[in-house]
Amino acid sequence: MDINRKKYLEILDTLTDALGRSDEQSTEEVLADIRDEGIDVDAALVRLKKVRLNIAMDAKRSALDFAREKRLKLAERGHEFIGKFSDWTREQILARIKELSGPEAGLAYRDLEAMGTEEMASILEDLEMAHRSAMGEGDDSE
Amino acid sequence: MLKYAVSRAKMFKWLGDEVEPEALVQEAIARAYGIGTRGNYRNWDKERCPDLGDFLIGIIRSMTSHKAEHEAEFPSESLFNEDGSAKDSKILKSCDETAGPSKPKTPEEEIIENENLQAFKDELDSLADGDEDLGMVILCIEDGISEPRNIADATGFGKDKVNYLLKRLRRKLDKYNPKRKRQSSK
Repeated sequence: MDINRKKYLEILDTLTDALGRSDEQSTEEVLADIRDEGIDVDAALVRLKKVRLNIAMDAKRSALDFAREKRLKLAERGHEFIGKFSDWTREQILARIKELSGPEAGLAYRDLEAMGTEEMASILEDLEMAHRSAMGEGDDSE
Repeated sequence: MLKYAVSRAKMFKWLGDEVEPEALVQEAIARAYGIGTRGNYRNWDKERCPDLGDFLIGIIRSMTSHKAEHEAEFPSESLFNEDGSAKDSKILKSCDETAGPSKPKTPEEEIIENENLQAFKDELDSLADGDEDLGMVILCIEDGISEPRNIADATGFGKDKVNYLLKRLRRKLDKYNPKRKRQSSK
């Protein structure tokens, strides 16, 4: 079949882009459009909020796993950063973890306060590492 | 964002594929968080795009665009249950084994896709012939104009009329039935 495939695909691209836009529509109009598609908007939004939370937690765990790997590498090299929190009190560590992680920390680590102080200090090292990486002050050893 | 995903998912439906709109939203969120399929990541430049919703829509647009096949690796089905919990503990890492629409097509599937494309174009032409106002909007779309305000500028229609015509176009196209490429994978 001889069709102008590229052109037709471009039209399909533009069409679905146009039909999906909600420029200058009110929230009610957008919701009505979605309901018009036979979608239970309320259920979908509840589901997507939970999904976002799950993804956020997974991303945080991934970032911490990455930071942990870096921390272990640094520990192998005797980096001064590691062990920094061994003299801190439990309350200081917890406060700093919450400061670095925001309100979602409690969700990522539901049993945070039930952990031992050493384990909490280890998590804080990971978080500090992730924080420094994000701030562009991270590992310069690689 | 959900409305946009619903619309973009139709592109695949009209070509004979099946993509769940929520799977697109999930993948966009995952990419924004840095854990998209095959490590896909989109950095949110808040200065260039201050609105998070617009940013996520931009991700959906680029990953579903036929021009960006390298980005078009995403699962076609939701990886989460109805209650929002993950189907797999690895969540999006399991996408790597998921056959999405970017999976290489068989010759038969290519034939079906081309037939669907032609039939779809015929359907658009028929709608344009049967309704002058709708025809003007379709002409804009064929010229690559997708933003309602630009369609309004090009046609001289008010924005409300353009939105109404787009809704009418969407409802008419919902009646179009493409050939399916594959039997349901469920």
